[in-house]
Amino acid sequence: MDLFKACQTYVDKLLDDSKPAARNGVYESSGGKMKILLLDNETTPILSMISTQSLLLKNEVYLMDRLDNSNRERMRHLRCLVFVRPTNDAIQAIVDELRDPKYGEYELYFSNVVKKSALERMAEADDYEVVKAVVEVFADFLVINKDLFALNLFAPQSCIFGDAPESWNTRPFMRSVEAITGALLTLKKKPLIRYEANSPLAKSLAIETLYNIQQDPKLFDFRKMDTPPVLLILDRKNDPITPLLTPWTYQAMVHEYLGIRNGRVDLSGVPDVRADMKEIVLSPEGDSFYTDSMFKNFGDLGASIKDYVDKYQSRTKSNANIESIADMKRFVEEYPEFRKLSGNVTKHVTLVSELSRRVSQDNLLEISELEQSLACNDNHANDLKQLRIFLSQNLPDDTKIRLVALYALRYERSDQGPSALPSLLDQLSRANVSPTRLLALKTLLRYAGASERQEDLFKTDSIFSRAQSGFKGLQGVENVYTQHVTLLERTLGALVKGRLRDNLYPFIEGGGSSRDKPCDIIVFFIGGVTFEESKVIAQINASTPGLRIVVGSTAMHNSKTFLDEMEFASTKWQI
Amino acid sequence: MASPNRRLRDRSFSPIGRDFLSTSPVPSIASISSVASGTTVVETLRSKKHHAASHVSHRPRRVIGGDSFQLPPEIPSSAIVSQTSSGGEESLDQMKCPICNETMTNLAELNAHLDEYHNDVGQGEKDNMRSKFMKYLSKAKNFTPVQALNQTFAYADISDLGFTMPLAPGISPDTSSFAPSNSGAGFAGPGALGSTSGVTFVGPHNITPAGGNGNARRVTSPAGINGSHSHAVHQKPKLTEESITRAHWQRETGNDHCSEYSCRRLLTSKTGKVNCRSCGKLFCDEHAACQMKLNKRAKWDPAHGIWARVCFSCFESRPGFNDTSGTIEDLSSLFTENRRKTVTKAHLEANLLEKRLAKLIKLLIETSDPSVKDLSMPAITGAGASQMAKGAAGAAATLATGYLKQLRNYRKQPEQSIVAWQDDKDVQDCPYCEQKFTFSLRKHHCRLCGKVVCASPETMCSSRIVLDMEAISEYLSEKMYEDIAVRVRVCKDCRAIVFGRREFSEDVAHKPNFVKVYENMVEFRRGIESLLPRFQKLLGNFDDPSKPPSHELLAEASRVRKKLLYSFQEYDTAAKRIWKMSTSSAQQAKLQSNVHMAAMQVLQLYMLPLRSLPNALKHAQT
Repeated sequence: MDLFKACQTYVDKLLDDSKPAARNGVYESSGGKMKILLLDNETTPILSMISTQSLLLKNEVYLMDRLDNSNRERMRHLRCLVFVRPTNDAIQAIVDELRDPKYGEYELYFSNVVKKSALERMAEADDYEVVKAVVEVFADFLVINKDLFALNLFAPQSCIFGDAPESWNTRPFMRSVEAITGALLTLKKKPLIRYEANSPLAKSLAIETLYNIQQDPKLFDFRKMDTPPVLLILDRKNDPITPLLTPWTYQAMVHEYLGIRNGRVDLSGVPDVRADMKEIVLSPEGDSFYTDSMFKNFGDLGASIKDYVDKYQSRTKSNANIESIADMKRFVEEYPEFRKLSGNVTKHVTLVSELSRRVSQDNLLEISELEQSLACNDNHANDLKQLRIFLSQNLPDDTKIRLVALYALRYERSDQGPSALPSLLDQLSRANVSPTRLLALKTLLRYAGASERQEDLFKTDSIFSRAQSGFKGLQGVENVYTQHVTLLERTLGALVKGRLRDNLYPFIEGGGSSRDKPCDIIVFFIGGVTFEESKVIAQINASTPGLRIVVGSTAMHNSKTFLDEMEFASTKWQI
Repeated sequence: MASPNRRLRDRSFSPIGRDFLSTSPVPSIASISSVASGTTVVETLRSKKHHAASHVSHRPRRVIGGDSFQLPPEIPSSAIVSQTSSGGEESLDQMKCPICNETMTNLAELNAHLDEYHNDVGQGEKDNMRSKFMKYLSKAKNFTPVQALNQTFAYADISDLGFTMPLAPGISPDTSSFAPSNSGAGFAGPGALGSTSGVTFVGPHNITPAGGNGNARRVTSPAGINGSHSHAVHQKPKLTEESITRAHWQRETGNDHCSEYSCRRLLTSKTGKVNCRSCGKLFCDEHAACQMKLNKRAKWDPAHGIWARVCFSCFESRPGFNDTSGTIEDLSSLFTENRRKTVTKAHLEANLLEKRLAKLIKLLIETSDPSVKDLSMPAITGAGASQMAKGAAGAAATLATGYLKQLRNYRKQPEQSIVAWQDDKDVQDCPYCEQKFTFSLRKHHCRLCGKVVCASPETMCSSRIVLDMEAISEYLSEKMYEDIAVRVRVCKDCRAIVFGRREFSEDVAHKPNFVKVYENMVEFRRGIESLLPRFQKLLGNFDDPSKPPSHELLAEASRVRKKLLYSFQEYDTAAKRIWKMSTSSAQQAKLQSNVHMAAMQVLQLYMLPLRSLPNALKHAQT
């Protein structure tokens, strides 16, 4: 269940020149035909996550363009590869293109199931018989890690919510179903479907996914394994805490403070950044340092980046020490690799130093301590005292909002109740926090308050229940900043032991059920997932042989995008 | 109760005894497996009169059954043979009530006791049991030995049953009408088979412990009975982890190491000592933590197997587990099939118009020169028309203007005979560009479809195609037509239908200079790719410092290197040439610079091994 590997077969297929070439050898030859690749606005990032420019160039793809760009020139000596989502617009664009072909021949690749009628329409338009291949590949999602995929369903363009927190916005809904279907086909799984019983969103997604699977039984005819895989559909509203907490692992921190969008990080806002580092690519594919350290916490990260720099320096030293011809030769031979290393070192050092700057600038250690205390301990008086101190300090608005939100969620059902909430809100508005942001806070409570959640998020704070998730090797060193255990971890712990309660996580009707403990699990989060949760998944996968989990979501959230989502929703829901 | 039942009971009760479960001559695995397999039906049809059957497996059940069943006399005795058996001979002398464990002196007493104390089965339950029993019997009737055997061995492993052939030699010779029960455990160990002569042995341990304790509740519960009945008859034996073969297990020696390559630690009681149920090797607890479904042969069987503890490599090596390829659905053939209709239609249309065109040309030629009235017009084939298109695209006609005028007068009528012309009055706007016809925008007729169209040079709604007579002159007997060109006005659509495909394929086939250079470049790359492996193989000979390479090898290596260098140079030149070609189009320029960029990448990748040769050569010489 490695999404990168699975999608690699799609890239191979796309670039395959039906000529039998030694594809695995170092020296591969390709057809000798220049190619242009046409994409749409969604397949562009999809492809960029699983392939690279140089790989495309190597396979003679010399031009890339958008299918909907009508200013493309006629170049009949090119072969045209089209990789698009099978939307109506795309089909129409292809039909128009085929009636007056700009290129010599065409290969059409679709990222999901093509309707029969669409296929007929395209066939009808192909008078010139230019189409050489029509293929469905199912990379209909962004592969972020090998066990994490997501969509870019963010407000305002693609807010997932309809007019109420209980209803879907149609387009994002269909998009989510397609992404799940795509992921299942990519991983070759025909799962049993479970969903969170209290979420109408999850239920309708489960029903539609099941319908899609049953529509195409031939496509979903995979080898049966000992236990059927499980698709578990979760709703963000059952755990609003995780996106609000300060993350402490590398990938999550980069996303929290700098933002990772389609595998790229925009560093233009970082002070004194080098010109070539304004925008960087950050992907676990082909970056071994990142692969090794993306889930390390900030302390360990510091150590490993130091090692990395040391390694680089020793290389530099040996390179500076050129005395003989042999040294020169060695230098020239190693130069490309050395340059790559140097680029990578600079990239990570830039990132880590920026993170470190933010940690001290925003007082993150202390804030995180309070957050963890709010999330994990019952200590109303102390928490409140500390909270008031922070609110009076000069901190970013979102930090204050997060703290108040955590307080409100934490003590909503306690004996005292969130008694200080009105005064805290008052304090926020006096501190000139924007009123719409305050509205986002209220929306959050409406969306994910205690009455909306199906399990008690905070009941697990005792020592006893902390061992509950039961994944070995996950507890790690007790650390005051990372005490919080995500609901996801607990849910998965119950699922793999076969103890997930049927009334809270029912199987979808008509989709079968099983008492067996599942080995292959696909989790889909409605309303966004965090890198903190993806870290949990990666660690479970690494520490539990035989268990394979992939997580997907409508969006990769950090605290800002999560609050943005709430802010936008407040305009829709009239709260 | 009816007498047949009584008789039946007399015969079949003998094996029941106190020690029924106590001793077993069968090896332990078999015993466990057959106990585990729960219930086994044993049919006894050893009646002298050949019309009674009995049901032995569950004592209580059978007893009740014996009391309440009316056996149909027409049951063929040969259908089922049951072998009663005993774990010990003493059970014949002394017997206990299977329900309440009260000791009885003889069979008659036991029967009386049962009738008196345990005859509490309700009428409904009786009927229920009866119908179950009847069903079972009729089913059993249909079993031929082979069918039964097949069914049995489809699921059960032979070795677990204690013998390797389906029909073990121990099965008593006097059972000429032998029909095996369809339950796996019905075949018992050979030892037992041999030991009881006359009475063929059928696993005595197939009685569940509950039954052995004479649990009255269980017996009288119809659910229990029905369940057991159907289980025994219709279902395959239930497996437990113990029924998976252990023959292949690695023996413990006391000094074993975990078979996991990365672990290899000494196995102690602390680390745990577990055999992987699948491969049989020993592992520590941690490295045999997976579970998968195995059948009795310890092979992976997701459908019928049972959960068993295995090592990770067995778990992982299940077929399909590490299938990392994504689903790819190739719709090309479906697409081609759909397209066939379109293409056929397009061909038909093109054919029709081509025929018209041919006819038209013929007429035009005939009318233009009345002297060749008897000229037979060649059929314009696809190839002919293609050449015409060429003429239309290229050759400029040289035609005397006077001749042309003359032609025009001749032409109109034959032209209209090919296709009816649309009436000028019906059309106000050009159907393509939708401009209004005016004095300056004249009406014209397409000679192929007859439609009224404009002839605006900007929109090209219609155009005159020039048909080069030379192209078809091979069909003409006289030289005199060589220089004659015929011009025909056709509208946009007709032009596309007749000539579009050809124009397109010619356009595709046409190679601009740039493409030729590129193909040249690709050829050089292929050359490099085929030479490099050879070169590296040669280099491999220089690695061993103790064996200096021969002179021939050195010469060969430097020859190949020279060749390679030449190819690199040419490749580089071609790439640079492409890069520098002038073009007015931005996209073309981008294409060219990207081709160059890719070429540089290839050079960087492939040039590296070449650099190391001088080193190797120097090294070889010293």
